[in-house]
This record gives sequence, structure tokens and C-alpha cells, in this order.
Amino acid sequence: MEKTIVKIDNLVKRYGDLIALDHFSLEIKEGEVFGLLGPNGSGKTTAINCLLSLLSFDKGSIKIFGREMTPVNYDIKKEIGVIMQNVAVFEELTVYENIDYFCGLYISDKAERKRCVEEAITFTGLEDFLKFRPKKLSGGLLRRLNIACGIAHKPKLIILDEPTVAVDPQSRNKILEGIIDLNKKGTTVIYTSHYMEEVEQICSHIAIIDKGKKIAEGTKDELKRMIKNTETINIEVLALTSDILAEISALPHVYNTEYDERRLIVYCSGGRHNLIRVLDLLQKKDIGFGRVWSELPTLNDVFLEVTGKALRDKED
Amino acid sequence: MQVFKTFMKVLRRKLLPTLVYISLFIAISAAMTKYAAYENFTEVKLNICIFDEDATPESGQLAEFIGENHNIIPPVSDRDMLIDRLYYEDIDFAFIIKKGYSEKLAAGETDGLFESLDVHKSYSSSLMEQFLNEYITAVNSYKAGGAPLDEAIAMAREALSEKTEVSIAADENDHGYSMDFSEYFTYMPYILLSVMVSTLSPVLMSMNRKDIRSRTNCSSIKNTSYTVEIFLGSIIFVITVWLIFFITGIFLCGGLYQGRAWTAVLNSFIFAIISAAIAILLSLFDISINALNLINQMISLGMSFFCGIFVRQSLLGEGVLRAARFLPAYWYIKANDMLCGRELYSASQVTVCLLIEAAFAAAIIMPALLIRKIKRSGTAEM
Repeated sequence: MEKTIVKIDNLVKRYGDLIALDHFSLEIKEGEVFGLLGPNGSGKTTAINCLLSLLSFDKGSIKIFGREMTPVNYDIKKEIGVIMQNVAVFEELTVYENIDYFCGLYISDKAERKRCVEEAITFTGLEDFLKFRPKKLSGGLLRRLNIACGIAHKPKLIILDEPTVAVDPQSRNKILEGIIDLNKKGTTVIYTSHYMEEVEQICSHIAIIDKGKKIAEGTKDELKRMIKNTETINIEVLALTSDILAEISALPHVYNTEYDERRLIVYCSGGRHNLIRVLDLLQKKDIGFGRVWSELPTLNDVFLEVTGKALRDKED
Repeated sequence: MQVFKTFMKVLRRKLLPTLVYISLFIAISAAMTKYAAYENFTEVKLNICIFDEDATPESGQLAEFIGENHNIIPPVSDRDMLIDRLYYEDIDFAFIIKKGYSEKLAAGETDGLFESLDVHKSYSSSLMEQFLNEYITAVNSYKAGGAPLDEAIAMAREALSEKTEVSIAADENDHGYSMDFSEYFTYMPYILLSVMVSTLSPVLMSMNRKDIRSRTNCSSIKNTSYTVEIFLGSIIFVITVWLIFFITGIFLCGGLYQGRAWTAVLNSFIFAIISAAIAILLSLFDISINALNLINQMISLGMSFFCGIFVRQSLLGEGVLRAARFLPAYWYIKANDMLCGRELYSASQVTVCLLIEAAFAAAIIMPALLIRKIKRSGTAEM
């Protein structure tokens, strides 16, 4: 049986009248890359801050490694690595000095620390920038430095709060590969992000949080099965009459259709061979068509369906 | 001691303003001490212009006698030019030996012998008028004693040629803290304040940046250890800066402090603590370095002008001094002035000044602690 690393139970956090976390519960198993998704202001960062004891909470409990997490439980803190949303490094120190400082907060032995710092440097590919000050680094390098500072002490649990914000695709890829590498070495990872494709790429288990409540949780496939849409069929087709469109809408498992002169979109819910049925109908009606493609639901579809499509403009 | 070491690294990279301030202050202090200190009295020779309308041996003897102690400037014929030269103090004093001088002198008359041509009453003209009066009085006295005019003039010249031995009674012999040396301590508050705010505040701002603190709070280092290590770093910086001034003072003073100078040293130490407290308070606000520098100039220059650092308290208006009492530098300067003898010395009043300064330090630290507590409210207690 997999060991539970993090257990959040019925957590309530209020800011005055605003309830940031509303009986929020979570369980993270050892060796997982756990994705915590949510729109802006949903409570992701509040949950992380409570988890790290940076914020006090009104109700509930948090256990990490089976022990109650408190601000003074330094034994637990020693095993946690944190990569904050904002790059938290000293502008006055070099890349090496920054990593050494944060590593030194956990490891006092000089030789061991040196080894850990060097490994973190190699891991993040910062070897050529050791004497650079943060101001001289690009956005991607800064993020990598931020990660190096958080992982240098080899924690068992790493919490990454949107580590790839404003990072170019190459750096993002390097960061994601690094996270997968860490996980392969046995580190449990909690990952929060807005980028669905990232979460889909690296997370083995995902929870979606909105308005302080957990609204969905499971593996990628489990989450995808939770939503109505299971397949979206796209067909380039000319001169489609409303009668034929009505016939397509009446096909089994089709729950919605859209047509905008050239492109027909058919939304299906469940069932198999939906594409063949639609194409058969078009052929029978002697309607020519061009490109055809079918899309399976993405995490983004899941996210939008469970959290809604209304704009969120509050900061988390 | 990871936090302490990092504090020192950050401090090292922000040390430039401190080095500039300290170097300039020491250079200026050394120059001022060198030029302000004097050991010997030097007689001053005035530039005197004499118009001898009498042109007799007696008037010539007077001119000759004046020439022995002063510089005689050839008569200036153009009256406007003479007035200009008197106005610009190129000539210190001009006078006419009026026609009939020798006759009146022989007759024992004292009025109408000379005519002063000064444009404004100055120290020099008063001195010369006094000298002419003394000369005439002396001649008349010897004449009255039965000496003939020639002899009376010679005796008067001899009597007035007597030099007065002048020696400077060194002030520090009394209490060990001279006015000259006190200047060094007078300007110190400005430098201490500037150094603390321009260097200590940015270092503390950097160490206590919200995201850095959050990340550090996630680590296994205790929050109290973090605060203690930062406090230790700050104390070492404050004491080092103060020690530099303390040691420089010994060199400028020409030996170890004595007497009241030790109280001045204590006074400066208390002000170093006040400056550090102000720096700590300012570091708690989320302001840019440019804004901090602006505030630094406002506080240090404002306090210097209001409290008597740049302008003596004796020259400041009553209203300004009343307002300045609410600033710590006022009490620093007041104590310093008493210690050096610029103001009437009272040990109890000096002690009161020092205690008021200490109270200011505590009064500045208290809101700093309150602001820190407010900023940390909502976070989990460490």
C-alpha cells in the first residue's frame, strides 16, 4: 500500500468574510506528482501556504509524513523543498551563493552542502552562470535558479507553485524534465499551475480547486471521464443544410453541433465509432468533405467544464 | 550562522556609501582639526594710511611710531578711491594729522588733533583710535610730569612699545575636551545617520524581503535564530562604524580621550544606536532604494540644520530650537556644547541629554517592533 505523504483534512481558512479554503481535504501518496489546479483566486497558493505553515488556518489539520505540521516542526520542514511562485533569491548574491545560502538553511555540514549545491547546479544546468548575479539572468535561468535553491538539500517532498510562469518553451521543457527526473528518484511532488498541458504531461494525480473547495480529483483519465464531452469531431464541409445538420444532431451520442459555413463541429458524449457514423451520413447525403479530425477531451476541457468559462481576475 | 554570513555578504556589496561617507568625513575632520588648532599668538599688523597736514617733526614721530607696528600705506589722493579701499578693507584705518598738531600737543590740548576717515566702525578703527588716545594721553602725562615735549614723546613711545606677553590658555587642560576637537563630534550625527540609513536599511530590506522570509520560514532554521543572526550582523556593523570614528578621534585628538571627551564618546555611541534604530524603522517600509535615499537626505540634512549640527544652536531662532527639541540630534548637540564649554557645563544636564537620547532610541524601536508585528499578522507564529 502506498504511503500517504500529505494529508490535509477539512481545512478552513478565512480572510475576514472571505473564505479562502472551505473544508478543503487532500491526500497525496508517496512518489506521486500531484497537480493542484485552479483558476486565479481559487485558493491554490493559500492551500500551499497553509501546508507550509506560512499561514495560520482556522480549522482542520495538516499532516506531512504522518506528523502534524506546525510552524515549529523543523524535522518536517527539513524534508520539504519549496519553489515559490515569485523568484525568491538575493539580488546581491551570485548564483552559487544563493544556492549555497538556501541549502545552508538545511545542511550545516560544509562538505555535504558543497556536494549538494554542485549537484543542484548540474541538475538545473547553471554551471556557466555561477558568478552571475540574478539581475544578469534571463527569465528562464532565474526560474532554474529558483528551482536549484529549492531542491539543493534533496528534500523528500517538493512543492512547486507555478514554477514556469513567464518562461520560454525551451526553459519550460528543461524544468518539466527536471521535475520528472526528481520524481523518478523517489521525490514526491506537488505542482500547481495554470498550464493544463504541463499538468497533463507530468502529473499522475490531479485535484481541481475552485472557490476554496476541491471540485474534482483523480488521474487524468478519471478526470476526463467526469465530463460530458468525450470526443469532438471536426469536418471541413461546404453547403451543409439545416436539415442535414439536424440529422447529424440526432445521431446517437451526439449532444451538440456547430456549423460556420466551412467547418462542422460535432460534440459527442460517450459511445464508440462516432466519427464513422457522421461520415457515413454525409456520404449517404452525397455531401463532399475535406479534412476530418477527431479530438479527445483534454485537461483544459475538464478544467473549463468544472470551473466554468467565466473570467477570473482575482489574484490567487 | 548561515544567515549571519549572508548578512555580511549582502552588507559587503552595499558598503560603498558607507566608505564614501566615512572617508569624506575623516578627510574633512582631519583638515579642520589641523587648520583650526593654533598654538602661538601672532600679532596682526594693520594697513594704516596717514595724511600728515601738520608735517612737523612731532607729527613725523607719530607716523614713524605707528609704522613700527603697522604697515603704512602711501596717502591716496583720490578721496573716492580711498573710501573704496577702506570699504573693501584694503586699508584698515585712515586718518589725518591735522594742521597745528604739534602746537596743540605742546599746549597739552587733546581735542582736534586727528580726523578719522573710516567708512564704517570696525574693530581696526576702534583699535587705532584707542591707540592715538593712549599716545596723546601718555605724552601729556610725561609733559605734566615736567618733561619737555621731545622727551615726553620719546618716553611715551617707549612706554607704549611694551609688548604684552600673550599665551593661549588651552581649554582642554580644564576638562579634556576642547572646542576645536568638539567640532569632530558636532558633525558626527549627520554622518552616522547617513551611513546607517544608506547602508544598514538596504541590507535589512534585502534580508527581510517578503519572499525571502517566506522561503526561509519554510526551512528548518528557527525564526528566532534568523532574527538573532540579523540583529548580530546589524550590531557588528553599527559598532564597527562607531569604532572607526572612535579611533579616528584618538588620532585627531592626538592621544587617548580624557575627561569630558569620554562623555562625548558616549554621546556619539548613543547617537549611533539612534541612527541604527531609524535605519531599522525605515527598512520596514516597502520603499524603493531611491525613495530611501531621498528620505535619508531629508532626515539627516533636516536634523543637521534644525538641531545645530551645521549651524550653531546659539545662532538658531527660538522657534526653531523649540521644534528641534523633538529631535534627538538637538539633545546630542546640546550635550556636546556643554561638554566643550560652548554652553555652561552641568553634569546633571548632560546626563539628562544622554537619557533623552536613549529614550528617543527606545521610542523609535517601539513603532518598528509594532510595524513588524503588524506585517507578520496572519502568518503562522514561528
